Amino acid sequence: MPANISKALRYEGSLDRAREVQRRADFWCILGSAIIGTLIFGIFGLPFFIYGLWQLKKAEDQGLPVRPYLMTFVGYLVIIDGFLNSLGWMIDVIANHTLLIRTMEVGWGLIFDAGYAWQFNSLWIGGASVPGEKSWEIANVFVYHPLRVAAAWGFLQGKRWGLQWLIVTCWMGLFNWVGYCFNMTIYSEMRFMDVAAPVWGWWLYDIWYVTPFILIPYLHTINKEIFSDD
Amino acid sequence: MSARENQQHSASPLQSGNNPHKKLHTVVFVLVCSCLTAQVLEGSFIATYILFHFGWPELSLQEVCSEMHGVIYDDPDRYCNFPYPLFEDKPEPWTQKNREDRFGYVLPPRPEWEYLHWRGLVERRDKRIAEQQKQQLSSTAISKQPESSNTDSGD
Repeated sequence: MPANISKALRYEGSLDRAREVQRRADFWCILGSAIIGTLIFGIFGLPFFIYGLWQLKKAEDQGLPVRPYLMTFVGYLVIIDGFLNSLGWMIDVIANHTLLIRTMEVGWGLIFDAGYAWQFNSLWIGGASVPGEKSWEIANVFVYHPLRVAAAWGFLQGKRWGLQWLIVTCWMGLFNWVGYCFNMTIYSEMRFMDVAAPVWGWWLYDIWYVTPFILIPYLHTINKEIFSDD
Repeated sequence: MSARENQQHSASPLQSGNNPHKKLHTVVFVLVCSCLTAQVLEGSFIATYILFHFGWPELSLQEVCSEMHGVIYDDPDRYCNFPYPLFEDKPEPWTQKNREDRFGYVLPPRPEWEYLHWRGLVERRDKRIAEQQKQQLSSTAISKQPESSNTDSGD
């Protein structure tokens, strides 16, 4: 067998192996992200997530052509952000009378944002009663963040629509941040005057969710040739 | 350019030399790593942290919840009903006293303006002017009265 053919076959083989390893690693990472995203069971998701990342690192060490780290991290950053803000936030919309959620949310409210403690469960829909919050929650939980998770999945699979939807949802995220922060600021006396870690605490906790701002320049400068059209 | 090289072209700035946006992507990489680490840690540990922060396991979950509700409603008799009934006709805080005393209604307060009907503002303006004129008339009548009484006494 000529040398160049055997080389090509070896390359094909390593591509297949890489695809298989990546598929398996993605399964564990996404499972871990989803469990972390529930907020309540978060701690149980961490081992799955780390196991998935470790699989990817092993493949990289073996020289398999897996997805580059930056792409992986960008994808999972959006997925975890999306899950935390859809699954994790959904508990306030639909599970607000369970003992664990009542304790967790009011506790969070007493530390960071009294909007989650003030008149808790007093509206007909339950959960946080602070003005405006519920509308933002419903828009985010049922529209914005699920879109983001789907886009990030497509992006991780190297699909063109994934990249495009990630760009679209990042711009939506900008709109979302501005609207949410202004709503919160307008009711700031009620939300941030009598809590343990008021405005600085909220930012310390939430600054890590400014992913749209970080990703927009990256997504507009990434090499689009690496994404497939299907 | 091979698929691998192509993939590395700009997606992985730390591994390739021919990425025109290398600097920007390196900054993004650092920021993304920090955000990802923070989100994973927050998502994993916040629930456990809050429970410890407020006294679990020394206090049971129900005790933590009830004590906290005692604080937010400023009422030591508040408690967290558990298990909560599947169907309940009114929000939980409405079933316990004193919430209105402390906070006012939870729903946005009604403005309770008078209803402005068709061209109601014109009528409103006319009414106001009529009242002003009436007041002016009565005040001039009052101011004239002492004058006339003075003249009377002067005579």
